[in-house]
Amino acid sequence: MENNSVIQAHHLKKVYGKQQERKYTALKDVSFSVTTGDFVGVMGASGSGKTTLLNMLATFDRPTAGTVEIAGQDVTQLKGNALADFRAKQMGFIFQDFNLLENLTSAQNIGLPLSLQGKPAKEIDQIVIKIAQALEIENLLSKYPAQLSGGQKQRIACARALVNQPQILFGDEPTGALDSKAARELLGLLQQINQKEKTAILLVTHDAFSASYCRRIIFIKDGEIGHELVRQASQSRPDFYQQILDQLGTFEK
Amino acid sequence: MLFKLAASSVRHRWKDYLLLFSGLAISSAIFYLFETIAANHHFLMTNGQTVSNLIGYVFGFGAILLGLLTLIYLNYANSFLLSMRQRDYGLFIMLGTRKKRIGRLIWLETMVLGSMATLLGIALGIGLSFGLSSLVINFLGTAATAYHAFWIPAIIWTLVIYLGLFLLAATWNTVVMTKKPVLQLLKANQQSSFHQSKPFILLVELITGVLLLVIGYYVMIKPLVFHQYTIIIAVLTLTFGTYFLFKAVVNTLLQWLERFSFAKRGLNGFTLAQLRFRIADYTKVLTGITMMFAMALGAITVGMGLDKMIDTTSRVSGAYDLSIVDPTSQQQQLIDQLSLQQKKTYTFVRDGKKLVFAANQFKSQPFWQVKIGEKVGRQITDAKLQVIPAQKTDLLASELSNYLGISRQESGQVDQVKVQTDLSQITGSTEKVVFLRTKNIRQSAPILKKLAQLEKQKHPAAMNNPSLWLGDWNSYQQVRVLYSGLEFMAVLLGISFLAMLASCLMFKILSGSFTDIPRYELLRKLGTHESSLRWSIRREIAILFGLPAVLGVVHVLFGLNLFASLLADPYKNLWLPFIIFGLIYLGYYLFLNLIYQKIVLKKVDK
Repeated sequence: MENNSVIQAHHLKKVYGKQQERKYTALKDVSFSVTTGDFVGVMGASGSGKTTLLNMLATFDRPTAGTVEIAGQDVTQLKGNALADFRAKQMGFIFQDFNLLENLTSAQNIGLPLSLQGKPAKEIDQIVIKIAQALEIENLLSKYPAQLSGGQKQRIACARALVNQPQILFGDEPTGALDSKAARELLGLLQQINQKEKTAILLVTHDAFSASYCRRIIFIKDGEIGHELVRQASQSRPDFYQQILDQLGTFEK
Repeated sequence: MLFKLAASSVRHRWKDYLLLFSGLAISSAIFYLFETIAANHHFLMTNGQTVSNLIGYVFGFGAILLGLLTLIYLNYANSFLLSMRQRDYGLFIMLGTRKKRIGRLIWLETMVLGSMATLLGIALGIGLSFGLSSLVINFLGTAATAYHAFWIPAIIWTLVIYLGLFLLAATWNTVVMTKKPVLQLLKANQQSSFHQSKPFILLVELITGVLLLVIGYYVMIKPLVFHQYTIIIAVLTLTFGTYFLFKAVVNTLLQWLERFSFAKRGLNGFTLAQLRFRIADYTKVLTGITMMFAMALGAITVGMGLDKMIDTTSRVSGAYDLSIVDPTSQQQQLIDQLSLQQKKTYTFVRDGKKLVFAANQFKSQPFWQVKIGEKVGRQITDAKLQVIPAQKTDLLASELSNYLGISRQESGQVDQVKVQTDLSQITGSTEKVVFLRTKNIRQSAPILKKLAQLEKQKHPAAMNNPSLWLGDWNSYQQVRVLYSGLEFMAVLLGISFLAMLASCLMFKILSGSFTDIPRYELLRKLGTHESSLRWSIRREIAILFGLPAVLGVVHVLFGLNLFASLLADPYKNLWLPFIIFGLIYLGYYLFLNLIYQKIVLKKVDK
């Protein structure tokens, strides 16, 4: 089923604060969808609610109201092991601070999601090597995270996120801790994965350069979708970058 | 203002401080408990008349070890304190506080925490000693009366040692903190402890470790080769041997295990990796714990062994528990209640101060003696019951006088016991004497006590001189006092070591928990079942508990050999102390496991 929607968020609302405490509404009413092979960026200033949105989508937190459907399943209703299994099979994550386990080698880090699913060791080795070849990190497999640079760590994290062939890859400021060269390489890699594997990607970022690699950008302001930009087929990336900057300029006002 | 800041940060992290604080308090409480014995010379002396050099042994050993462990423990506590605070200190420096002021703040903080913990520890220690001593006195009777739970010298010693150590720690902290660059302080949490050892070094460490252990075990098997140096050699070789063994073998073993396919199943690989990183970091503490484990288990085993020795040792002084001359009807009633192994009745003629037995009665009713073996240092084990041949009248007479002669001599009634075939020349009253040997002296003790009391009343002049009343019952009473004192000390030592071990292990494992929180958080985000996370933690801690236990048991099995001169068979009935100890250890494991899971798996999705 081509062009099926991977994520469907309906009227998401999130209110923080317990009963006696002062309430704070992080998300007011957000609805949108992500289709197969989509590459979506979520942008917004600090405190706009973009991280809250990501946490809802990635099942790390539950919305106060509204639903999130991923691959046709309402994840807000999932609990315990079902939720864990769903994460393990359908989603991949890359984080700003890499979140690699520093006591495992790169190969072990990448293979971890497969180990958790109980795949046989031989199969794990094969898959890890295959993905390492694709991301050009074979020579890093036996190293520990402490021996790697930031860009290399993020590639390993990327490989770990993709190893179970997820429906959707979530990135939370994945270039935040990288220098510009490493950031450019990573974004290129994500774009390549998106085009080749048709893996849907959702990036949360406040960096216009990172966002310019996306096909579609959702701007969040004060807990609501403020605007949406779509990159035209004919539009070059630098052009799109400029457009994002312009949009951000008007958006701040 | 700075002090206010410091106070607020302490309040903010009160849980961590509570952990640190309670650990320190427990440590000083145990030290106090130990000192109530070590600094109580009166108590030591009442126990020490006969086996004083043995007590010296046990105590020299214990005191050195406890001191060493306290140092290690404080070292860990201190580094925990530092790691907890260094970010804040870095922040203060970044905000422009002078280093001198920071130094003063650090010094004050360490000292306040340390002295408060020490005072609380002493209070706790006094309570603990009261509880323990009343418990033990109940068990052992009068033996532990010289023991005082509230003992001023012990308080002074604990204060001196602990405050001295904290003073050192405070000065050390101040120096370290004010010398470190600000950035390193601020980013302390992000520094990795990653390091890999070269295979060659691992091999050298492995060989050294095994060699040291072999030497240590050898000197304990043959304690007579090095005499008084045995303990020192054993402590040193075993400690360092254990250290190298953990460093090299466990590390290599874990690395080797990671190659197998099972390491890729579920969280196995993660657990192995966690352990490997931990072991490198934990080597010192695991070594200390192994030694403590061995000491605690050894002390408790020896203590329980001593208890069993009371019967055996008291039975060395003669074949019979009591001798009763002309039993009264009241005594006769009591004798009938005893379950007896031997009961011999002889008649003799009292000729002035001479007691004369007819030799022929020893043919029909042989008299027994205890024959002590000739092996040095093993007399107790070699003691055997033997019949005295009736024709050896001299031997019979001297053995009989052990029971009858000397005891009545004091009162001026008897100065000679004779055994002869011809009694025709002897004139005097004929009396009867009954020799009793019970099946189980301990079980018969209440009746024997009444019997002996009645017998003593017949001779008021000799009543209060216990050495005049020979026989196993008499030595049973003396031996019980002596051995139960030793037993009390051994058990108390064992408990002290166990408690010290417990808090040390807890401290080390819990201080690692903070770095584990993000790891488990990530595993959860990757889609790990809650149950597998718990299983992984359980297994990891179990192995950290198990390693010292296994090596500690081996140490104990070899070390018990040292007590062969004191205990007839140190390896007899080992299972009992081992099971008791094992249960305590297991309970402790479960407790720590629970706490760890609470800390590490805090956020649970509902």
